[in-house]
Amino acid sequence: MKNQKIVYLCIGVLFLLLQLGSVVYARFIPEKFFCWAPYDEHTYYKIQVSLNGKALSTDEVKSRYNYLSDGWEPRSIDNVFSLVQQYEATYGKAENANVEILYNTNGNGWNIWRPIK
Amino acid sequence: MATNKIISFLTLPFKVYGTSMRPGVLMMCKIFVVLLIAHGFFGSITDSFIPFISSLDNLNQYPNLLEYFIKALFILGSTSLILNYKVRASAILIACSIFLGILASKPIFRNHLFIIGCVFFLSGLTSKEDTPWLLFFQLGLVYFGALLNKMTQIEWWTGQFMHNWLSVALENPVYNSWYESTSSLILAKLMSYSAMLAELLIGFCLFVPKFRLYAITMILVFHTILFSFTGETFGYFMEDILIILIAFREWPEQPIQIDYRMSNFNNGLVNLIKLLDFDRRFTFNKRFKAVGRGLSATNDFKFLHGKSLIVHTLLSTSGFYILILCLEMGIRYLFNDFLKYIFLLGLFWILLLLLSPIFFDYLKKVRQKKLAVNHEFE
Repeated sequence: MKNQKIVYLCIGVLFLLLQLGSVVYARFIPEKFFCWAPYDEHTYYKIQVSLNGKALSTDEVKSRYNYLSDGWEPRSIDNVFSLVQQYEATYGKAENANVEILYNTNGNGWNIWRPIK
Repeated sequence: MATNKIISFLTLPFKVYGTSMRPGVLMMCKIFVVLLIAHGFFGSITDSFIPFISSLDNLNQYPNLLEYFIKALFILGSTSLILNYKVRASAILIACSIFLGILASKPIFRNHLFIIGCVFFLSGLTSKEDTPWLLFFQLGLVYFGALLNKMTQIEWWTGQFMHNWLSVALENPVYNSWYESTSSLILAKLMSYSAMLAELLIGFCLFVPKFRLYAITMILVFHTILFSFTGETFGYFMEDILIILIAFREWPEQPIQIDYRMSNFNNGLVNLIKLLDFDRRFTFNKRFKAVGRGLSATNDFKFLHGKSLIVHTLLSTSGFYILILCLEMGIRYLFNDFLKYIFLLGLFWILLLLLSPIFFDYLKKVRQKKLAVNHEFE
């Protein structure tokens, strides 16, 4: 019983240390997953996708990535870039879609991001 | 006899005593199950789709396999937890379903979902006999992580983040009228620094047992003020944090007898407590003579009376938390925008004021202790 308690405790501490590691690791990468970074930046963005010259609607883009296609992102905008990049490099690779994300972080002006092909 | 058994079984979801978890921790877990279902976590579970671990995509050769597996984990864990069966193992099953759900799909990652997974996992590891300090540390880590991420963003120091959020994203009328008349970012800076300072103090106090009540008080005040000013609950992150506080509360181990003097108010209160007390931890002794205190009781640790007793009693009944949860969800689903904001604002402030006697009692005790020490020296 006592041994079991110690094992559980060690697992718990390890789990917390992993999170701590993740918080520190997040300092060195642009994406901010699993590192308790809500509202560290606030970005208005719009994902635009065109397939064979035809632009997809807001709803079509939303269902393509299972993510809001036009609105506020309260976490790092690189989280959005990350999932769009991953989609276009895997499931969407053969479609050769033209993707652009217009974004404005903290009101500093508009920028455009495109996935790496 | 059979009817009693059926009633006893049907009330199991509302009971939190007699399991391998502390009552507060189990109460928190049960509320999280309801919250997850209400906010559509179950429906958001999918097969691997833009996963964090790309090899999970290999499972897509077998359509619905991963989805059904995660859903089965969640159903199994939730059902057994709600029915008070193997509650610690159930909490870990639910945590696994959340972690797997997130790992299988980057788009469903949310901090407010991840924290629930962490809390379920650590609750499953916490024994009934021990203080849930893993949960204290988890919450402390959340605040320190949030602080570190803000501190490293220059726009949290210049006030630009807060200005853009309040002025452009939220179109906050109070902030905007102030900014229009001053064109200064000083208020935005002040709010940014206050938020960072609050996170620093809360994080620190959560790690020091002596200061934990201050941390809990600051969490309640900080989030209530934040909600009052912004109308934001950050997904359901604010609810998550407040629900975790339930686990920190010491629930009475022994049944408590409450003595009360006959009056309309006391009678009504006793009936309310009987209704909310599914675990039958409170018994009542009516006094007809108009002597002594209106309401009094002695629990495991201390003699309680009046407002403090009412608060402590309500906070030791599962029905009270279920009532608050129903109120909060009712407001969310029945009202939109302004009315929702007003009603939630009222609910949060009433709760804060209701809980304040605990903090003031604590301060009084600290003061009395200091006075006693001074007397000894004199």
